[in-house]
Amino acid sequence: MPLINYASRIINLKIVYYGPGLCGKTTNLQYIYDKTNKERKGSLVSLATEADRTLFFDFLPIEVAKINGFETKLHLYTVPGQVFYNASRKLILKEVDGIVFVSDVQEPRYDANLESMDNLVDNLAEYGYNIKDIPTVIQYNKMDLPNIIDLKELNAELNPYHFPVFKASAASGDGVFETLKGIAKLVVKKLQGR
Amino acid sequence: MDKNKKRKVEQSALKYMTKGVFNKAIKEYEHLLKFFPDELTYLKQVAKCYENINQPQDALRYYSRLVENYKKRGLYKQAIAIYSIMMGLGETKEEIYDDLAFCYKEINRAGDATLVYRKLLENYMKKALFRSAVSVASKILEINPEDTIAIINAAEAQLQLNDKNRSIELFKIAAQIYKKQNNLAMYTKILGRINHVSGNSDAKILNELASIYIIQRNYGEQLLELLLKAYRISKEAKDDDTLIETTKLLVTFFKETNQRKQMLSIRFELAKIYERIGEKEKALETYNKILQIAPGSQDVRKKAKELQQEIQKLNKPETIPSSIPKLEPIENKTVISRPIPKKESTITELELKNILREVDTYIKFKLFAKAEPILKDLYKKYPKISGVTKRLKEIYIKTHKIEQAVELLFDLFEKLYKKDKEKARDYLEEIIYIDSENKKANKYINKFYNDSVSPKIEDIPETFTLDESTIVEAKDVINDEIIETITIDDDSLGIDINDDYDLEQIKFYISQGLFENAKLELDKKLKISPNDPELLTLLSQLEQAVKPIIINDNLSNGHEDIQEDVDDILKQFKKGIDESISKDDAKTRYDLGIAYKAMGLLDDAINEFKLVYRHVEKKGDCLLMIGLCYNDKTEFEKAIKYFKKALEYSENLNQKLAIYYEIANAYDLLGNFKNAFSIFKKISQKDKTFRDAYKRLKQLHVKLKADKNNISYL
Repeated sequence: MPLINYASRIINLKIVYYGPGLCGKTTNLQYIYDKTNKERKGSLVSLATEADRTLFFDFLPIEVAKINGFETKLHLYTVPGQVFYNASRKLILKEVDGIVFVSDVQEPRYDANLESMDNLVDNLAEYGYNIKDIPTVIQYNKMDLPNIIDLKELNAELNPYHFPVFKASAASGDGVFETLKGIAKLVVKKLQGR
Repeated sequence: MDKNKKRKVEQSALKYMTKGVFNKAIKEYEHLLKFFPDELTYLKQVAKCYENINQPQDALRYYSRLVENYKKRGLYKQAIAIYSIMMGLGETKEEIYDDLAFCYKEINRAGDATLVYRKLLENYMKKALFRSAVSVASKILEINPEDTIAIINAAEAQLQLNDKNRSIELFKIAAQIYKKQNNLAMYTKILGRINHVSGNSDAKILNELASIYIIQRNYGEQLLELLLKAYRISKEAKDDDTLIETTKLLVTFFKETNQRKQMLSIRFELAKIYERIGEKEKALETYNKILQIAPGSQDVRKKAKELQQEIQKLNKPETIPSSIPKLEPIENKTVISRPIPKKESTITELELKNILREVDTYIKFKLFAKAEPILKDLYKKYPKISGVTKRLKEIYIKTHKIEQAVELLFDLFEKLYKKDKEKARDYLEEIIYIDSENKKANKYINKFYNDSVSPKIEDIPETFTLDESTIVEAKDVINDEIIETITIDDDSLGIDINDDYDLEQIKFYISQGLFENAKLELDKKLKISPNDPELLTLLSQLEQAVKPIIINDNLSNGHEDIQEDVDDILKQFKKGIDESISKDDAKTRYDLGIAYKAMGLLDDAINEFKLVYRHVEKKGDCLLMIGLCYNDKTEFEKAIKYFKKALEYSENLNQKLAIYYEIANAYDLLGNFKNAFSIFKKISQKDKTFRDAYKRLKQLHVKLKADKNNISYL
């Protein structure tokens, strides 16, 4: 549910980048941060463990266009991808408005993608949410690398609800903003339908 | 009646109406109605005339006919308008509400239909017409199956009709809806009601209530009372699932209230329950948790050991023990040792490799007592494998068993002498290093130096009988290449490791359930090569291996474990934030507050907003956000306090209305419907379209009436 501050006339929308470990969630946020105007972005809060993995969550607020006279802020979050941190992930998913599922298209990560998606569905269910009802897009990341999975096959398993998909290479920035625009559109559309 | 006559009478009736001679007008219209009984205009005019001469009952009679005609013709909007006039005339028949709601439904105004049905429901409840109330409630539920007011009223009505089971069932549905909506206040109230109706006898409900107390960190005596009651009930009912849930909640209670002894004792109970119902791995896990806190508890240690042996018997040797706690100290790890094959001829390379990896882990964590018997056994069976001998020697040195170490060093010297004299000499030097007075070693080493190269073969004692055939025999057992891989140098106890060894070690950690160690190693490697396919495969394996544990966590709903992890991570995270983001960075701190709030980390959110509050430009906003956090914490009085403070900083009408709305909402949640009503009324007077203030006003009207009827939670 969006957090709407009627006094300041600000709508805060929570978008969570979800996916298996090392799929490129933080890279997405870093690229968005680097390429966004100073006036439109907050600080990128991103802490890493010694092993350079996300600690708890990354967080980046950015401003987008006004909706019905309300300033709209997208709060972008990433979750720690490693299986161990499920409790953290669950916490971050609370009151989520939109999900970007970042999938790592390298062959050895096939199962990890599916497990992460299952985990997402389970965690959402614990809050009584059904993924079908939440604006979601899927980003197929690391398209520039060799040894990638047959996307048709992966998509058939990963995306039974036919969420919009975006091919990306977050390290170079390809597809990053397309993905963000994709999810923003869905989230705003849902908000306007309320 | 012909057309001319009809027109004349109509004109006459209209004339009388205009002049205010209503009696005569009525006569004219009634005359017309004899010929045209369904003529809408006549019916409407007669009704109006009766209204004007203050005869409401007669007016209602005609309005009733009029409305029936509208409905017949499908003119539902007109019918609705007439119903509204009829209600204004004091029509109280229940049917009218039913019909009105029907009309609303026909024109797809489900919300209005619901409001009308609710009114009807309220009337039936007031008049104790419970069957009718149930029937209306089901009509509301046809429109919206999650209408909690209808469900609760139906539950109350069923209770009055002596159908307690159905009543409880309905209350439970309402409770689930509130839970889903995160409306903790109402959820708690309904659970309390279920508890009351069921006569305090439903352990599951008592558990639910207790969970809420725990979420709210309300660790008073009431919580303990609830839990003990639930414990007694579920135990008597032999309901093991509920009993386990209760016992876990008791563990949390004693843990949070620092009652260590009771916490351990109840954990012990939990382990016994698991054992009784055959959940051996969970039982073992629970015993291990006790041992983490009370390592000296011999009874528990004994039980854990017995259980571990039982599990070992049941499991295949390769099975990853799912009961291994994730973060416990290595001393308490329940690593299942791989059995050493009895006959020399039966050992495979892989088996030996795995055993030695396990031993290395013990050595790395200084668990020499565990490593020593395994190595001794291996040494006895395979005296020619230098990797075994070296490890055992190392343990003897570390545990100051110098005599045994020296014996093994001579053994190593003998084995290597023919192959590489220089290296063999190193063993002699090592003997002298740990036992400088050792005569034999000194003699041999002197020989080495005196002869400048090496002692002559004839000087070597008889025991030096290693010949080619022996080497071949050793190779039959295990090939040299493998021995090389697994034979480690002195510094191999965790220092000098090559890439392959790292990967093997990670694999070993995974296979042994040492997931934390595996993760650490893997993270290190991934930092250097994040896209290395082999590492990624290992990561998947690791995730796969950890999965059962995570699932177990989820299934067990173990508040303590999951919470402890997150608390720890959050602590690290906040520390990192404090180090990297200035407390004066109002914008980022405010955003963090929003992030924490969205995650339900309300105290942390409040802290961030309080930090930002120091900045002039954000004061009002922060107070509002703090108030909202207190609302989420169900501390509505505090929330109101902050909202009222926020009002002082509001700069325009819109801001004022927004804050007043929050105050009214908090009063509503607090159960102070009167204040809520009055504020919503003021908001609606200023701006009827402000959010859903007007709708809330109408709902509160219903609530206030229900209050009078002593159904306080409505």
